[in-house]
Amino acid sequence: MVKRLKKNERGIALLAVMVGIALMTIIVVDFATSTQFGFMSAANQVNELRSYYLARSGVSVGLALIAAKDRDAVLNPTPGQAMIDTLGDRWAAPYSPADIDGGKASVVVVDEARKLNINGLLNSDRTVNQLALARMQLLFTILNLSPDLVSAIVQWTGPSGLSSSGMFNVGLVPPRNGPMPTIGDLKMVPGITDAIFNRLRPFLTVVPLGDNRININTAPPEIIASLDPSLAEDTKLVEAIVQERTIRPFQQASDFTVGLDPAVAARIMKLGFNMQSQFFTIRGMGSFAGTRKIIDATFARVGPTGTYGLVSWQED
Amino acid sequence: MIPRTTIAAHRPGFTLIELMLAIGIMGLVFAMLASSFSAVAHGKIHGEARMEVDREGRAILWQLSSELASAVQTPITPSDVTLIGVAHQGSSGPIDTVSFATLNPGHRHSLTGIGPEDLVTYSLVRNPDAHGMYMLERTQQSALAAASASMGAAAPAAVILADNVLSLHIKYFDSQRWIETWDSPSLPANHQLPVAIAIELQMAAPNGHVMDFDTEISVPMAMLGGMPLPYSQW
Repeated sequence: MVKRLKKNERGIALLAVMVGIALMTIIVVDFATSTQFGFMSAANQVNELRSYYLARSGVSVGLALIAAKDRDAVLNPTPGQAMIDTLGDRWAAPYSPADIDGGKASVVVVDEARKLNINGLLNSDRTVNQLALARMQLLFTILNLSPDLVSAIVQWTGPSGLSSSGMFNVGLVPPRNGPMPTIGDLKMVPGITDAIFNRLRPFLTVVPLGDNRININTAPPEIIASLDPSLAEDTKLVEAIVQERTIRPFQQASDFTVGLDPAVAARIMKLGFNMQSQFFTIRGMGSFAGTRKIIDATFARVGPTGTYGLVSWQED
Repeated sequence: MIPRTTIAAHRPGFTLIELMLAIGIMGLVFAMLASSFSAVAHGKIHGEARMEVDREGRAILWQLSSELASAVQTPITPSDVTLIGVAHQGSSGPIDTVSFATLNPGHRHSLTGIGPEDLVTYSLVRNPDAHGMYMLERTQQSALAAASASMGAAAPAAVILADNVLSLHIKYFDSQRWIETWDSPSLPANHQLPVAIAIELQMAAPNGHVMDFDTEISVPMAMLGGMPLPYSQW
């Protein structure tokens, strides 16, 4: 009995050291874990930065694509023909994401002239442009949205006298009472929900000011249909127009109106349309190790030789 | 046959010297153990606190720089371009304030990240609890609401991002030189934003350490924008 006790006593130093080491191990492991969290958050920031630069390189590629078009037009001019922008152009072709250094970069270029202009709803003297208003309402009907939303947009952008009293006092954000600087403004218009905004975004633009012409060579079927009520009802005709321009893009206004009913053609000519685009929105996307960055940059064609100016830059 | 108990009784005990020696050695061992234990514990607390400050500083710098990079300037449509940087002097360096309209505020009200511009302000106020330190305050509100004084909108509540800031120095590059202040309303249209902005943030870490966070960002709208022609001539 006593001998056994004596034997046990010998381990006390070992026990003390082991307890000490165990405690210190816990502390060190805990510290290592929190260090790792710190390292991860730093690494995440680095990855976000990589995504950002991948997205920026996407924007640069898009800019090079649209500028290449202008350069081609200068180097190989087609006599007697004005330059036209079509969906057959290099910038309009879809590009699959490129693998760069373990990340992905991609680019989508969209011309703004294919969309209806929100800032064209009002004339330069701040009165409502009835032609543009009717066309916008027709587009909303085609998209299965309430045309009343168009009146809300007019009230939001128009002079303060246009808005009915008390309408905007409900929300905290007062109306713009001026042209929308970015498409993001649309979200603040009463009645425009996130779902409606996402539905409208491919069809609406805010540039340029004072020009309501759409590019008939790039406009989506919904926009072509919104040119005239007769087109809105005749989906087959719109399809035929889209098919025809893929084979042979419209070089001048008469190419488009030639097959239409003369009365419709006259109405459309009054609205005005174009075969060229002045503004291009380039969406550059970058992703790296679970982070992603999107940049929407809108460029304007400034000169005929491929000079572009940035008119809007939005990061997300 | 001798009984077991007799053997135990005859076993010699410890002398006083032996006992004192044993206690002394044990004390020494425990003292060494305790000191290394406290060194590790102290190192952990200290390291974690420094890391916390590091994380805080980097997060502030990241948010401020991404917000500044998306400062509003729309050459096509008139918009309220705002970027006002004011230089102040604090007890241990500059304590600058900056107020600007941005399309990419850190705390977006909607999920898709798109909306009208917000007016964001960063400013420093003296920390009443710590001598020589400042609290970094940030406010955010809709630029539309800020612009219309008639709305009588309440001033936005300030959020304190950090309470251990020593200095905040913001410099602006106007494409020729670095300047200490920026006042966008006094500048010509489409040239109201600086091309680049440098931010230097100093924060206090435990044990009197000072941690520096520096960055330099380019402003795309100022770098690539600045349209040479008014829209009517395009």
